[in-house]
Amino acid sequence: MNRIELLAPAKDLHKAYTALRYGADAVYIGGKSFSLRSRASNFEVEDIASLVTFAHAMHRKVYVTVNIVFHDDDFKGLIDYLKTLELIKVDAIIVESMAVMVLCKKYAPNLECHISTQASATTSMSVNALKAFGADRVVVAREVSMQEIEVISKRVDVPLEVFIHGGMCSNYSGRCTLSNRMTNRDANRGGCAQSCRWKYHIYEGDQKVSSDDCLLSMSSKDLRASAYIERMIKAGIASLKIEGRMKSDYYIAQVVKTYRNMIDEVMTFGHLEEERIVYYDKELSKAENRPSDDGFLSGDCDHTKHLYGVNGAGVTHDFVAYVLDFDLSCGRALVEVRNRFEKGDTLEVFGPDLANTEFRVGRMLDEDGQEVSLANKPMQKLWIEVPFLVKTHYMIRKVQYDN
Amino acid sequence: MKLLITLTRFEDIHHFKDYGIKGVIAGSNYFSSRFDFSLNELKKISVECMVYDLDFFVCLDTMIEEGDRNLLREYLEFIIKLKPKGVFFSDLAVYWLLREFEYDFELHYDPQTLISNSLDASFFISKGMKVVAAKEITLDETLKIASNNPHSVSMQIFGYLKNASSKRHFLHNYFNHQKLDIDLRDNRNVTIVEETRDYRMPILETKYGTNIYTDYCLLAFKEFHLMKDLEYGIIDDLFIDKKVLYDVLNGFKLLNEENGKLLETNLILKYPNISFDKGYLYQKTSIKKEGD
Repeated sequence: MNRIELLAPAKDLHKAYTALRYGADAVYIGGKSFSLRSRASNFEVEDIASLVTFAHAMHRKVYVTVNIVFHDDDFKGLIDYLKTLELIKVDAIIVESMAVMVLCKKYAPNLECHISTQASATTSMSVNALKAFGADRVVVAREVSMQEIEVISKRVDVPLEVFIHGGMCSNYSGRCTLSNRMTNRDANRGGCAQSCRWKYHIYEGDQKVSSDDCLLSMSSKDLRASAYIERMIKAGIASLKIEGRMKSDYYIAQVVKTYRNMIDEVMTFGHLEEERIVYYDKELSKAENRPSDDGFLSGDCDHTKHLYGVNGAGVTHDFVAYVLDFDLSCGRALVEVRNRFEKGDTLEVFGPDLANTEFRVGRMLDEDGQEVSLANKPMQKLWIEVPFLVKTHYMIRKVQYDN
Repeated sequence: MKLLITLTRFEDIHHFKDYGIKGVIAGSNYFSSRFDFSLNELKKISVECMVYDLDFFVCLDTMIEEGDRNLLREYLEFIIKLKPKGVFFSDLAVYWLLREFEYDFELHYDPQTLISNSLDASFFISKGMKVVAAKEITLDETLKIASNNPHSVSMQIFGYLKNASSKRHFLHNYFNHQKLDIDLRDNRNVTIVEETRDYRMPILETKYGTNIYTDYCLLAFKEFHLMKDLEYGIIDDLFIDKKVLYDVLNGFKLLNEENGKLLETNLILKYPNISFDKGYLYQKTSIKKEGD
């Protein structure tokens, strides 16, 4: 089996480092310009350069999204930007625009061009067309089933990237302007208001045919492809992509680590048992903020794959603290508080090289050495006793037991 | 700029020439989100177009699935035999598969949104295609793209604009979820209204998925004389009554550089229930959320 890439999103340097520490082979980020997700923090060039240095030292890669649907005025400064990305040794850009790809090949030829999901490549034919146009990699549309992915993979000779986790557009990506019409925010230039997740009455003629107690929503459940990782690896997919440039450190760490472990298990044992998938699904649910399913991977998206009257929630574990340091001499960890916890709570620690390990909160000291029993100030630094070795960048969450 | 019109009713073909229409766009229930002519009817349309000296274009505006490769191949073979003037398509799969054939017609790439700048238009033109400008760009932007790529860029100049396109069957799924025995597939009299807004957006579900259209009908008589660099102006009659359509066609027939505004006013007054609008012609959508 070929080595497969695990590709993670990041909205800032810290999250990119987290993704790489927790097992991503590559991260994709947006620059300050030319990138979708305008609400993501997005990186200055200096930050991108720092990230590239960090990633390359770990033999990992950095991709930069240049994936807005360009208008004529948007090209201003693009060539210099591409040259800069090449100069600081970014590995690839992710583009929708064929024109941007042509400019990139001409002015920054060392950058690979990966074609964004916005190009809606649903078949081997469209993938082959994009390859002929110059694509170095193509992201397959999220409307494609696993069976189709396997066929497409056999019929093309360009690396394929497939989404495995995260939010899903309910319409073909790049072909939706609901947000443009309803909020004047351009869905394809970083302003998407996710109008598909709003609620709508349905009329046939003048007669309302929807129920007032539950209106139509086009909102899709999130994607979770855990059951397909083995098939994707065996199908020769080049890269497995996690969606979510707006997501938190905790989400990135948990999701990346779970898929990292899944991939490694398949690579080691050649197979992922059903019970292991159940285990990994449970792990993913610890970071979930919206119900998830396998989207189009299993075929059609029927009503069970939509969200009606649901806005999210469903996280089974709260991220409560980030480990900054550990004092081996006294067995205390210096943590940064993110959410409320108190003495006596059962917490779970996980890290890039630590499997989930629980402990009960004992003595806690603030930075002045004063004992406290409640951690409820965000970003407060506390020393807490932990009965095993923990390291910087580990994360601590509160276990919510099922009733 | 030459005028093309979508064809909903077969019997309309013989009227179109009288209104200065250059050609018709039609499609079958294969690979079309909005046409449902049978293959025989499509064949008859191609013949009628010849009789009435109209150019004939075929529309394939759905996204293609891998499993439909052979079907698409057969359908393209069928289309080639009809000797159309051109094909409007939304998925590059059509372009790629056509390389297997010898054909002699225009390829119009119409992905609805992506042709939003001159360079991308030029790119596809360099590959032997013509393009349809994105719906959500301004008139100035469209005209600039057209002047940079003369006689290769078309745009929709009348009708409801496609807002979104999905493989999902939104209506069917919703009624299933609600356990309601309602089937609105292929029903062209369905609208959706967001709960905090009051405008109605037509929604059309077919076997290929669901398309959602703008609540307004684009009307651009006033701008018509500015569009000389465009190849085709497309009049889309989806959701438009026959009576309204012929009034619109009459408007296009009577148009000159001075009377566009007057003709628009007449139409707006005559049909107060239709929300005519300029759409994005003068409205730039913002890149970022306000406050970002």
